[in-house]
Amino acid sequence: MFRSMVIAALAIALVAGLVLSAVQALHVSPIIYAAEVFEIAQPEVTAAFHDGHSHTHNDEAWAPTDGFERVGFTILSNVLSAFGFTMILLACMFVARDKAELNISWLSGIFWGLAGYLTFFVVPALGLSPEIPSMEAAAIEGRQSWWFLAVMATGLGIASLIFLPGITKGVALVFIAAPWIVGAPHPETTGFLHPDAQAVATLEGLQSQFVFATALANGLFWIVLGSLTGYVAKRFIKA
Amino acid sequence: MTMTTVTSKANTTAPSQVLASTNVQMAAAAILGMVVLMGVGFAPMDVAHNAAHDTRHSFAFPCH
Repeated sequence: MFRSMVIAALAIALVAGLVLSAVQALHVSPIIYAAEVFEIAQPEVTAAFHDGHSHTHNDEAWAPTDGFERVGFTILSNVLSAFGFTMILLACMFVARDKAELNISWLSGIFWGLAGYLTFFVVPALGLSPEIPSMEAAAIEGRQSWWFLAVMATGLGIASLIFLPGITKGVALVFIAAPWIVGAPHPETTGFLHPDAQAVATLEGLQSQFVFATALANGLFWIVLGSLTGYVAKRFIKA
Repeated sequence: MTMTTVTSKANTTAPSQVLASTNVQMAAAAILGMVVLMGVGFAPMDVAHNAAHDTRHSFAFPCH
């Protein structure tokens, strides 16, 4: 069964990853590229304000060249991420089917996809807004830890609401509240530290566009991923 | 003869073994998924960050 799950997940990830890549190329990546122009133009400003920011990038490290190579690695990363999400989704679907007799289909897959969207994008993004390059942010380690907390708590919260009986569903409240009680880490100065006011206005415009673009791209991605996973799990994985 | 042995073996040991094996496989599937996600979205090495940069931003994974 594990083998057929891996093969199915690779096929699903290829489709969902390519759908995401298409939407990303049209609506998301152009915003990242536009914001990067300002990032390169103001290295001394960000360096001066990044006290406690332990995460530094080595300029000598390999990076894909802009254009074909960069897009290629982005598509590969999208497909690999989709594979990771699909393996988790498949495991959850089969456990829910075996323990709670939850039906698997393309339709129920859409609801699984929406749960994935809430868990992996919406709730983490409510605490840590999707970032464009050159935006001020707290230390990477703190943000990553909070992201994990938000994902785990949201996943467990949704599972508690659906699978626990009667009043015990109330446990979900604890999970849903946990990330907000801890609080997402934010930098002392938020926004953009570019010296040019015009540039800051442009970056702020790009930032709000980016929130909408990623929300739509991720929503579409999760609906495609969820419904495909439900369909393939029912049709092709025997257990 | 061989057929009979195999059938009777399967009948007596299957249910619990199949269940345990399914649980292990589901756990392995979820762990494999998480490991791949960690590699693409969270590995701190510059090379991993640079290769997956636009993907990390698009999924709103914490980046930079």
